[in-house]
Amino acid sequence: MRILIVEDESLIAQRLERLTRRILGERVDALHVAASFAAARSRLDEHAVDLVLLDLNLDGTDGLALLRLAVAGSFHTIVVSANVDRAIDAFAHGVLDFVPKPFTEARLAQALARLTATAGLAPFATQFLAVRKTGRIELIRVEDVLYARGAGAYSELVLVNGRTELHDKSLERLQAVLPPVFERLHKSYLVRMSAIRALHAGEGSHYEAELRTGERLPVGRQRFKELKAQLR
Amino acid sequence: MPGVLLRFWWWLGLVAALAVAARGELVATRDASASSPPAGSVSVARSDEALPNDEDARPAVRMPGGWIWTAPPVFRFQRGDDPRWAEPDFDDTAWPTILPSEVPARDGIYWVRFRVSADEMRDDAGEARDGVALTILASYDLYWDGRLIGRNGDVAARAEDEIPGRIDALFQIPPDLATPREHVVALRLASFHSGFATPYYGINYRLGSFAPMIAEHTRRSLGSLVAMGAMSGLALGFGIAAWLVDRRRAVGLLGAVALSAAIIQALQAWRWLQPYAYAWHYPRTVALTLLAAGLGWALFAAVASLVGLPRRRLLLAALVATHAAAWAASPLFSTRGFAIFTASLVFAAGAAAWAALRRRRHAGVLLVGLLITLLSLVARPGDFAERTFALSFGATLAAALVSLALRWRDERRGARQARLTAARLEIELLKKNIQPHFLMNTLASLMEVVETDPATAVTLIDALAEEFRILARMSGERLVPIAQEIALCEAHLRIMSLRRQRPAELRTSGLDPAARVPPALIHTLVENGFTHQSPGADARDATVFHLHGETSGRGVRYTFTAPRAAGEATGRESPALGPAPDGTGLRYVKARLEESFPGRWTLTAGPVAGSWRTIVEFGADSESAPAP
Repeated sequence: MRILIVEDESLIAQRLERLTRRILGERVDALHVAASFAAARSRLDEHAVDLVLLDLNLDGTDGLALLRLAVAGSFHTIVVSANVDRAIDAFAHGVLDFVPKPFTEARLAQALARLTATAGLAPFATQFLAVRKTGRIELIRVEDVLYARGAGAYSELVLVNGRTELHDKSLERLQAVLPPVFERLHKSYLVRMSAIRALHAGEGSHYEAELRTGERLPVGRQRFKELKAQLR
Repeated sequence: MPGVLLRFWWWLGLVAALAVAARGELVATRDASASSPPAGSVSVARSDEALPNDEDARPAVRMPGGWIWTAPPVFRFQRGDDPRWAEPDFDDTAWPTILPSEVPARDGIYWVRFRVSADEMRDDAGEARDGVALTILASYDLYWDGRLIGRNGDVAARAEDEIPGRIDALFQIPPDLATPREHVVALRLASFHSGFATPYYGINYRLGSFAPMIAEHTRRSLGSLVAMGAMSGLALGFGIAAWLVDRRRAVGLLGAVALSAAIIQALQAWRWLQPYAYAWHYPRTVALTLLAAGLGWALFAAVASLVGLPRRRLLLAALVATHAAAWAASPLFSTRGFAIFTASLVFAAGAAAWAALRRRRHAGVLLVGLLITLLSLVARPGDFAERTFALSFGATLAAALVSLALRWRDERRGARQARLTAARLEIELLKKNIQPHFLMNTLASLMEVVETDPATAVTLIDALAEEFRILARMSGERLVPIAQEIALCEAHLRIMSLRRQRPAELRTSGLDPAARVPPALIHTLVENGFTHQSPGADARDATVFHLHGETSGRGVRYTFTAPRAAGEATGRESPALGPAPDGTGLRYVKARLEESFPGRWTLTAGPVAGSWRTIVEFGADSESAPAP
């Protein structure tokens, strides 16, 4: 796992690094500390990462803009901040977790555990998905998302109005920050459950879910049985 | 609130207009009726101080120069002394006739003879009058148809032998002489004790019914007594206020104004309560005029001070010069007093008008009060310092009281506001240091060193404790010694050095150890300095802040310089981490400066050659800064 820590105070950065290494152990492939967001950005331009631990003061517009920039990335973001009262904002933007300062090893471990947890565990309401457009970040309301389709390292968000948007996060990472109303029907599809109108068992092992829009999406065999039970 | 004030002014203006209109009418009717004076109340006199100035009872024609004119009897005058001159049959046709004002002073014994007509002897109901009131600045024997009916003092040919008579005297005409026919009055006079320059007084006589005249004599003092009581009360009130409530000069001056008015009224009442020898009349008159001058001077000084008139000394000197000119311009004390007092009112009203035009607070009410008094005075000049004067001058004093009370109300509100501000700033000061960004980051760092480097942890806890200790000591203060402020900064820098594992220090120069600054002023600049500083990834150099103190034209100037990363020179390129660059910190500093140095501080900040410079300048240290 490739981790980037963004923290300007060296003692706290040191603590984050030390505890992360202790918690993840062998799973840490690379760990880099950036003292500023600007430094972090240049690092991200050259190196792919899986997780950013971000110290962010969310007071003021700058903090929010930076948060959006972070959550639009392909990596997971865990905010580590003293401004607890802005935690809801952070969650609304789809961070994996919000760790208030000061933090214990246990609390950090809990946040890091979310990385590897099975999908759909997000206990909080992510309201927006940040999508990187040329030169800007666009916010998409989660309630407008019908389903997401995996496209290699990226995801395609299919919206209620039929538009599609490309998101930098993989389907797995997307699922980690999306609310549990989204379920995995297929290794390549993450669907809003309330959008499913019917399930169809076709020839052979070809299963499909029919959406309210009329669109049909493939369903994995194992998932089909579970879903059928659920929808009954 | 402005609505109430507006209404108050409106009412005051209305009352003023009505008062002036009523007075104007009064004067007009009197003047109209003056051409045909009713019988029985005849007098001739100048309206000098020797006369009661009782115009209400004496229809009169107002003449230029302060004369009162009613149909004059023929006064015949003779120097010398001869008992036969008292006889009604004595032929005085050879004696020269004189005006009452031509009666000499300090000139031996002399006689004045005149005749009272049968008409004068009858009142409106046709009854015979049996009382005669005389006001003469002399000792005299009064002969009525040759009979001595009264003596006032002891007439003598030499000053040391003369016993001065009272200024006002009332005589009963014996029933057999109080008949409705013509009578001959002869006065044997001596006036060695008159202080007035001659011939500025006269003979005033009035006929009436004896019993009511006694009662009337006493009643005359009532108006003055009431006015004296009111003015004394005001004087006492202003005096207590000046002593205990408001040390401003204007309050004491208003007390002096009210006290002068009270003494003037006391001197007026004195005449009717305790008739004095005519010798006292001159000093009393001089005292009254001087009191009027002092009152006018104090009034102008008070108004000028209340409204903040510039060049007060010069204008006060000009007023004194005007007073002197008024004194020199006329030998008549009534004219002098009137001119002196009117000049003072014009000066004071001018000051109030000046302030009202500049929309100074509570100047309008003063102006209205002064104008009421001034217009009343101009409408009825003879009334100066007399009974109704207390009413018209009351308008000025009432206006001054209202103006002062409004000021006190404003100040009380201001003080309450200041207390609230102080409380709010104290909370803000404490909040700055328990705000999450500082405290929680410090605690996060502390957690780390507790686990990895307990010795550093102890140092960090110590520094944190020190910062909070100093803060707790400062929290209630408006200004703290600069040394304490520097100690606070140093504790903060120790914490930040440990947190950032990178030394940070504050270098000072030119600081006056006795100087005092608002609490956490420099501390806030240091905090902001860390925010502005872009944390370079490889920066391991010390962060050095500079604080330079010096005296300046305004008082003290502190120049604070914080390092600033080169890439940040354009300003907007976000520092990314830490609190918002400006905002709450500088707002706190500005509020603190305004609290202790209202209107007497400046704060400028800007980039200078790779660093961020903040210059704070404020007035000299003053704990009890005056309200703005």
